[in-house]
Amino acid sequence: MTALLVTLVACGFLCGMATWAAVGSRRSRRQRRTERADEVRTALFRTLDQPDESARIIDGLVASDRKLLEIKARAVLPALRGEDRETLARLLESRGATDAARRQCRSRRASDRVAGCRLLGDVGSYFAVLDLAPLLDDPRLSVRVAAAGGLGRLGQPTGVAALLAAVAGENPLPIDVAADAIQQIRDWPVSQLQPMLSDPTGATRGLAVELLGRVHALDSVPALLDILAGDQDSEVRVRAARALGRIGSPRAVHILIENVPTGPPRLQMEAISALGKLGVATAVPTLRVALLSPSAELSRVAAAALCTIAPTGVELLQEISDDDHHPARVTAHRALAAHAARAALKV
Amino acid sequence: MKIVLVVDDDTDIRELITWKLSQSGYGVLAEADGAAGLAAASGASETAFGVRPDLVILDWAMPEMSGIDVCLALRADPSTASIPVILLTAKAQEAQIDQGFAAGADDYIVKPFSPRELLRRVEALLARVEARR
Repeated sequence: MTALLVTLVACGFLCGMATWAAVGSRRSRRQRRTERADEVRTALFRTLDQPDESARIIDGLVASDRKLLEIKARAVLPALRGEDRETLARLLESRGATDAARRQCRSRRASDRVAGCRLLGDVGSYFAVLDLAPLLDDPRLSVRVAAAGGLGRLGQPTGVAALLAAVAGENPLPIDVAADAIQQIRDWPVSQLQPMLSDPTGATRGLAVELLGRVHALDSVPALLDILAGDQDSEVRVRAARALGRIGSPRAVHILIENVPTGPPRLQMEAISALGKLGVATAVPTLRVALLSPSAELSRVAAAALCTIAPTGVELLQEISDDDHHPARVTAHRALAAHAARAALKV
Repeated sequence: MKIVLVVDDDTDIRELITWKLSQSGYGVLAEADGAAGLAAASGASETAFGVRPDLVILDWAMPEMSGIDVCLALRADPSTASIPVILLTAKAQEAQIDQGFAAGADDYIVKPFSPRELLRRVEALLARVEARR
């Protein structure tokens, strides 16, 4: 009996010891991992402060930590610009990241090509344009989008021509994707968009119109008015209405008003939004009619536009909101409530 | 020593800013979420030890409590209303920048950002606050 008891106590003691040792070891492993991550992070930041010393700092790490440093550098890189970004890009290039990205860009697997485009956009040099531009015509949309994003992040003006052409390629790049990428690139001549406005391809004209609106090209207003009035592609006219709203030229008011009752639904919507951005009182009667549109979406956009035209638009909405029998009462009320919430945020 | 509070849920970015500021002689408090950041700004958190920051660098997009919410809460509390706030965010649209300033930010920096520029802005903002005192 005593022997059994002693055995049980001994077993319990040994189990306790084993559990304690396992927990302790797990804890120390976690602690070591944290310490290692801190060490690598410090090494990475030191390379930013002392770029000339980066080789020596990295050589001071063990091989697995060097790999970890590379992963951390890739993670931080997209959030940075300026000298620190260039230092990190050089560091990654010296570790062979650019060559690896180039190889990925040529891979048969689309996911590898996407990853390669992203990495080249982050760490690539001037010459990476030559690797990324051909991928704008890749059969897979995800690769084309990643290549455009890479060219945008790369920020080389030499990439603009390829992006402008890519919307009319055999495998076209979506206009907004091209525009987003081009917008990230600085120092490219806006004047090259003017001849594109008379291009036979709708997508090319659409991209030129989109970009002119985004860069607020005031001197392109007459051309945009012509496009809104008579382009054969309704998608291009929709973009022209949006661009004119963004630029904010009062010369566009008349033609925008004309398009509200007569244009195709998407054009009507953009024309109403643009009138809201222009904020002119002359648009109020037209927007009042649009408020009664059978399309709930059109009515909502008209109410939102009226909110931005003070005081006439706002007073009209208030009047409608207070009229229990008005068919647009709820829309007006909701628009005013949203407007008040935005105003409260600004206070 | 001036104290800067950095609130960002991205560990690498938070640590990078902390490193840059520390190297330039600032004391740095770092928090990973909005609620902890708010507590640190009012000197109530464990890490703050009752120390109030002289300036706050806030990320916008954080889970649960966004940088905008933190900024509004800082401005609503008389004890933290005067602390300068820099919003550091990837949100670059005009309307979003408007919203950031409307929430009470004193400066707005869009990611990708230059850590050196951030440092200069911190210095400039603190110098302006000092000059007003």
